[in-house]
Amino acid sequence: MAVTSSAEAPLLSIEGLSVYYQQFRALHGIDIAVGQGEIVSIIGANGAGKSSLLKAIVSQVDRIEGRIQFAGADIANQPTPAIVASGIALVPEGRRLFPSLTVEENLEIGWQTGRKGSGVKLNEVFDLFPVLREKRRQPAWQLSGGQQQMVALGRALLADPRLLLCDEISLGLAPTIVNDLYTLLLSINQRGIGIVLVEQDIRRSLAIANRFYCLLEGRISLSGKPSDFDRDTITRHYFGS
Amino acid sequence: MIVTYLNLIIQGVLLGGLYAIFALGLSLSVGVMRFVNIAHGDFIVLVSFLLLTVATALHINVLLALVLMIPVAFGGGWLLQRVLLQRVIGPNVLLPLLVTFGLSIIVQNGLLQGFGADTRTLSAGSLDTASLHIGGFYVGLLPVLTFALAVALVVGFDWLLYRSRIGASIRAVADDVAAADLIGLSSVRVYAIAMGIVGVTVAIAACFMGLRMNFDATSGPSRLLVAFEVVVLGGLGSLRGTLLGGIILGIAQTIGGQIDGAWQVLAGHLVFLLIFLLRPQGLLPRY
Repeated sequence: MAVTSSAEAPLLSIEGLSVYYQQFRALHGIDIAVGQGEIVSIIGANGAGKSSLLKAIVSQVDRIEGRIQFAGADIANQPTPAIVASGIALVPEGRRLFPSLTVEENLEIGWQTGRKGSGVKLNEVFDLFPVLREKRRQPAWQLSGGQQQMVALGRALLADPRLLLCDEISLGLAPTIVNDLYTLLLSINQRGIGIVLVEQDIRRSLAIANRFYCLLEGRISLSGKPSDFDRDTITRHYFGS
Repeated sequence: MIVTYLNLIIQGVLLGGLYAIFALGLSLSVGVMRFVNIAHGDFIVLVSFLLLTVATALHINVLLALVLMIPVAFGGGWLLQRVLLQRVIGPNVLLPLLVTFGLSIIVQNGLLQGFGADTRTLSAGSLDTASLHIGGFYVGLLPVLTFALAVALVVGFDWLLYRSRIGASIRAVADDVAAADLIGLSSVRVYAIAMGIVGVTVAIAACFMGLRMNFDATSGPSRLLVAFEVVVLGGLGSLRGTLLGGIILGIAQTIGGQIDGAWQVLAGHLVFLLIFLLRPQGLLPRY
């Protein structure tokens, strides 16, 4: 797995990023890098700024300071559609499917927003999630939570991303379904797609991550390879105690 | 007696086709984009005047002028959404209401200023008076064509909205604007396209209204009222319902007009109120 080296510029490089919501500052000048095809886990307690980080990458926050570079281009303050079309796809927290659209229509929206290259095809998404093929004509609101998460993931994959941002994809799902999703994330990663994983479930996300960043009140409290730290150290930096 | 009423019903159905065309654009903006355009009727009248001007200036048939007007109307709707309406649509439903109410006043007074208060009508040459003789009934060719066009438009827009890719994006944005923006589906762009489509329906409505009935600078609000009743009768967001609503209103008005000239419009409102009381969600509601 490619880890960032000085010879090769990282796929995503964030320097001195601050995020503001009106008067409130959610992130305080953080630096983050994600290498080509790397899985990077962002952990942290509620309100640590994890979702703000993902939203800032796709330009969906009020105001930012700092630099965000993706594949060599400056994407800070670019419009979201341009960022998505350049190869960053978000699986939003709470799935955020379009309830009245069918499964297939939801997936096709992903393709429309994306790079429109020769990446992942609709049929491949159905191969990954066979249950969705049977339900392709059903409106999304009729699906179970796990199936909706599959659609949300499939929608992002159809955008043919080079970098996939996953915001709390295991939230509210049964453990067996979460296991399946994580197995899938690994196979997605094997296609060379970089993944940024935001989770509250430390154990599971650190198990598949190459590197991690721990956020605490808008700042990075710890970062490195999961194997370099013991559970206690990580927990301490997670809660800040 | 029965023949008379059968004839009235046929006339009513045909008139309903025109009413459905009035209401199509409103049905799209209310049912899908979730905002009420108070200036809808005035836009129809505005385009009628534009068609009259273009047809007269270029010495062409008004139907040809309509063909020329359709891309202009799409552009007009697109621009209106992009420049003005986009700034006011959102959680506050009063804002678009007030802004389009203002537009309505501007359009009416602009038309008075530019074209005077005279009553006008459009002409499509011999088509105006051509009639068909079907099964013992004489029906005007123009109303028949208008009705056929209404059916075609309903089927066409239904396809556009529920089967095409652009339709899926429009419904996606209607479902959840924030989610669309979050995943890179630009709600601004989608709304502008949708309003462009509304503009096309306005142009078509303008042409066939002008061919069928008189209009002047202040006719807009009464057209809006018809369109509103049709949309509510049919059920929000349902284009087939819009056609059905138009037909019901057309029949009610025609039969009312037969009883007494003064009852024509009133009968339409009474039938609307009655159905609204019994079925407030409309006849074929989508939501």
